[in-house]
Parts: sequence; C-alpha cells; structure tokens
Amino acid sequence: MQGFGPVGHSAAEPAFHDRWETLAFALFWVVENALDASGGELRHSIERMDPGHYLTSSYYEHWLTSAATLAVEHGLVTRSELEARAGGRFPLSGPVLAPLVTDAGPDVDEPRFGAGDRVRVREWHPAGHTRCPRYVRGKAGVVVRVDGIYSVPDVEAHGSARRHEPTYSVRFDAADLWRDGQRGVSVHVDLWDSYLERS
Amino acid sequence: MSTPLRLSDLDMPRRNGELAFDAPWQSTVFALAAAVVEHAFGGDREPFRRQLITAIAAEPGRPYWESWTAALEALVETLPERARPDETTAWQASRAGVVSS
Amino acid sequence: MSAEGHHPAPVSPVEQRVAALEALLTERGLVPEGFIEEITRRYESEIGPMNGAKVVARAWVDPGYRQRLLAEGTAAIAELGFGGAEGDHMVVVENTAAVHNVIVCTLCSCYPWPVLGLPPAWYKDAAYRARVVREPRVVLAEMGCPLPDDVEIRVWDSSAEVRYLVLPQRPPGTEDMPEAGLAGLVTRDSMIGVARL
Repeated sequence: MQGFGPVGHSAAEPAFHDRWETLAFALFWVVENALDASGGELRHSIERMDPGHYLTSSYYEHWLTSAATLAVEHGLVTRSELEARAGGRFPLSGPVLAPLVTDAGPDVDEPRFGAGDRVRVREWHPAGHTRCPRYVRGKAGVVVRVDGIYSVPDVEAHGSARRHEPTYSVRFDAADLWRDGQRGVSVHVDLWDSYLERS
Repeated sequence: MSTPLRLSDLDMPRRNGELAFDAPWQSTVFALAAAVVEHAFGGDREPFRRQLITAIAAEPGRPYWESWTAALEALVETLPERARPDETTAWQASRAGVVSS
Repeated sequence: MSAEGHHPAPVSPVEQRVAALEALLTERGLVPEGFIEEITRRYESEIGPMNGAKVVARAWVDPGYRQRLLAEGTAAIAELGFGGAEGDHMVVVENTAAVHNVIVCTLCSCYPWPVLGLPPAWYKDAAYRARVVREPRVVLAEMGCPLPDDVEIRVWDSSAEVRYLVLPQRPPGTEDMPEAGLAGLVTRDSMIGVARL
C-alpha cells in the first residue's frame, strides 16, 4: 500500500492545505475556550454529524462543523446568522441523543447475581451507546456464568466518567425470545450487571 | 429477518489457510486500527469497538471493511488533543487564553 | 508498489479514504515503520485457525488438558503459546452427541483472533449475525450442518469481553491418529460451530 504518491507524506508538506483549514482549526479552539467544553462534548459533537455529511467531508470540515454546532447550541450564534453569512446551507451535527454522563455512580465490586439465578434484562432503550442487544431487552433468562468486571460501555461512551461492573453470561430459551415454539435452542448473551434485574 | 445468506460467501473455500483479506486496502485499514489502538489508546480496544458497533448499526448493509474504515475515521476524529507536533504550538497558544470556570 | 509506480486500476473511494487515514496517522507518529507490513504478515500467515486446531487436538488426546481448557480457557490456550488481542478472556464450549454450540457477535464481529485468526466474511455479514440467534437450526442446515431435532443448540453471542471457541467432537475412527494428524482434521468452521467434523 505504498503506491499513492500524491497522498503520501513528505516532510515539507504544510500542516494545512488551505487557509480555510487553518481558520477551521483555530475556530474550533476559539469555541472550545469560549464554552470551556469538555472532551466528551467535543467528541460527541463530531460523532453526532450526519453519517452522509461526515463521510463526504474532510477532516477539518468535521472540526468546523463541531465548532459551529456547539456555538449554535450554546447560543453564541444562531443558525440563521451562520447561513446568512455563509450565503447558503450550513450543515450542523444532529441533536445530543443521550446526556453527557458526569456522574457514573460507584463501581460495582461484587456480582449481584450468581450462576442459576433467574434474571430479567431491563426493558429500556438508551438513545446513546449500549452493548445490550435489542433482542433480549425485557426478556427473562438464567445466569450460567459470572465473568470479570469491566468498564460499562454505556458510561464510557458519553464522557470521561467510568463505571466498572461484573458481567454475566445469561441463557435465554429461544422460544421465549421469539415466541415461535422452536425447541431445544438457547441463546447465551454476555451482559453487564446494570442491564439486569432479578426476575 | 429472513434475508438469505449470500451464496457467494458460502462458496468461499473453508480451508484453514484462506486469506484474511480480499484486497491490500483491507489489511492496511486493519493494521491502521491496530496502530491507533496500540499507540493512541494504550491497547484499549473499547473505543474502537464502540465506533465499529456504531458504524455497523448506522449502515447494516455496508460491506464490513467499509464500516471498519468509517469506524476508524470516527475514532481518529476523537483525538484532537493529540495534536501533530506543528499543531501543538497553535493549540497551546489558544489554551493559554482560557479563563477557567 | 513503489511511490513512482503506476496505478493499473482507478482507486475506489474507500481506498482513497484508507490512503488518507494512512497519511494522517503516519504524520501523527502513530504508525511505526514497518508496522502495517508486520500486522499484515502476522494475520495472513501466522495467526489463524491452525492455532485453534492444535488446541482442539491436544484436548482430544489429553483428558487433563481438556479439563483445564473447559475450566479456564485463556490459561490452557496460553499453554500452547497462543494469546493476545481478542483472546484475553476465552471460554471454550464443548460439543457432545446431545449438544451443539455455535458462536456469533450480533453487535459487530467479535471473534477469538489468537486461535482462529480474523473472521470470514459471512461471520461479519448482517444475515448471519441476525439469523443465527433467531433460527440457528435453519441457518446451520443451510450452511451444511443439519442437526436432528433432539440435538440441543446453544448459541453464544459475544456481546461483552468473553471470546468463545467451540471444542468439536473427535471424529470416530481416529483413535490411533497422532496429535499432529488430528490437528489437520479440525476446520475453522467446526470451531465456530457451523460445521461438525
């Protein structure tokens, strides 16, 4: 993969190819300073970009979009002001779907469940990141194995807070999951402690 | 949920020694992700995995290695603090003007 | 391909994006010299299902090893010198005449790299990921592994940190085979659980 001459790195290559990139970069930090925005909020503003826009725009355009989005959301400028000055559409990132986690709560050091316990997966549908597969939410199963303590992905995705919890392998009867009478099939899913409640 | 498996995938040889990548760009983007995980996240695979899950969920029909590429792009975007050497000065200069709350 | 080489075919958009990523990450000092080549070499020729096959063959010939493998997969696999990324928390599940195990990652593509290498395309495909938890008996039959109704199927969704390996049943008539020969019988698909030997 060394054949892309024009895109390749050279020591003399400038940091910014166009002046607008310099401005986008500087603007990002101007907004960040003005808002004292956290790392999580900055990251999330880029993650919230429309996937089509994100994939078809350049690296520095992502920073520009982040800066503009945060500026609008925090009342520094209005969207119509931006679009008036830009003379056209000014795409911004999508809305925050899940609040920033500032207090993750304490780590769970002891498993709440043991092998053989009947549990139910919480029936909740978080807007942000989770590793609880949709197909087991609200379903009852049996703990077959207690695994190690790991950082909860739902917390980790939304800021710098961390919470660590035990994980479990939970067995679900396929007929309970799909209500189709299939027999002799079980599905085991590995789940974090807070995804579960006693059944 | 009754989409049939693609026969073209089932026809692939199942020998133990089959190639892991169909094209050089796939092995490159795989290795780039490994590099970022190792050198920017200290070996913590979780941030990349999170992006991969998000990328796959965003476009379930997209070919795997394209989702992987999108995930790596998204992950790299979360590294503004890790500025390039020539960016550091500008970043530090802007930080110097922060009025802490 | 060298910097002054020609491009025999137009570069696709995703290849351009990968090239851009490579340039950016190299600029940032995140890609040491030779890193890409080394990773590629490792995953194309060194890390693959032949590793898992050795683990399986050892378990077939050594009952003590089999017990350790099923009780503490990571440590037992490490006894044979295998381990590392995506293999730090291994659980090995055994097939019997009455029970058949099959592995999936419905959320992305989690897979036990140190023993099986990188997953095949169908494993990462939306169809497999969605259907094997929904109708595994049908999917297995489609993939050439029909199972009688009295065989219990256990599907394992690698949704957290654990990575799974299926310990297939030893084929009949192999009682006198040496361990190396046995390893040659073990296929990748049998260790994922979409085939029996």
